[in-house]
Amino acid sequence: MQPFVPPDHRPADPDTALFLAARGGDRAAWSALVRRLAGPSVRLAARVLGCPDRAEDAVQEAFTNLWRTAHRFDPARGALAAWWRRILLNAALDDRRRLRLAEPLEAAGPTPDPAPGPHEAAETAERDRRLAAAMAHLPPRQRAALALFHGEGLTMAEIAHALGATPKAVEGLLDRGRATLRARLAAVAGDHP
Amino acid sequence: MTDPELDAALARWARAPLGDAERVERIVRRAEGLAASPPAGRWPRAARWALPTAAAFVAMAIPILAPTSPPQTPEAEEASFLLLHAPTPIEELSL
Repeated sequence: MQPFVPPDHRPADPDTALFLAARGGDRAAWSALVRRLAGPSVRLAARVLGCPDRAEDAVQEAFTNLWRTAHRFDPARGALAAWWRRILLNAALDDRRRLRLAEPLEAAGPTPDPAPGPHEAAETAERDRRLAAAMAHLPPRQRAALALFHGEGLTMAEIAHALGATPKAVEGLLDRGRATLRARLAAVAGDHP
Repeated sequence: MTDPELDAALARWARAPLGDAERVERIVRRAEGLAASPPAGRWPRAARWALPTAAAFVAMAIPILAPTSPPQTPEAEEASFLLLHAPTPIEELSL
């Protein structure tokens, strides 16, 4: 028989539970939460900003903001993941960072799937390299929408919440991003048949 | 590049790990340090408006509550004027 759990004390998802414990003074919970969030957050921020160094700054700032505004988080209104994504993207899309030009993530770019044969792997690697270069020409918000959609598998509504936009606007960001990428990749393919 | 190829490439782009454990470790160490001070609560936020309001109230109350000086008579005013404009004695100037 399941023990009765009052509605206000339902067990939250692990991240939310850790954050609530950390907010209550549990430093070990905060450390555990930071370790869970840091890696994926740097990856997402690096995709948005096109630069691991700037991504590191953004994630650092986001953690500071998360801690500073801890009292404002209300678990009844949603999980920590959504709250954190919004804080992280706010830091990454901050105007001061947006003004700087993004560079292709050459060193940290996608790696080809090692399973296919050498020829296919080389072709995939070349395709990924071109895509990473084309990405540098997209505005950060379009890159953020593409990263959240293809990387995190979020719905339009979730992406909209993370970016502080409407689902319709997110559709526009994705469409324009893909159109720009297609045009860039076609131009590169034309130059190098 | 076909649509499925573009989708696949975008998924690889978005999901590829950075492979930068050192960077992540650096972020973790700095973020862990944040817990050394308690997160901002409702109290300091309330204090931000409560303290200036209290200070303004006290500043307003002081002139009302403080004892006022008695009204000046014409004689007292004249004595003050003479004291203020009295000629400086010669011996003081020479010192």
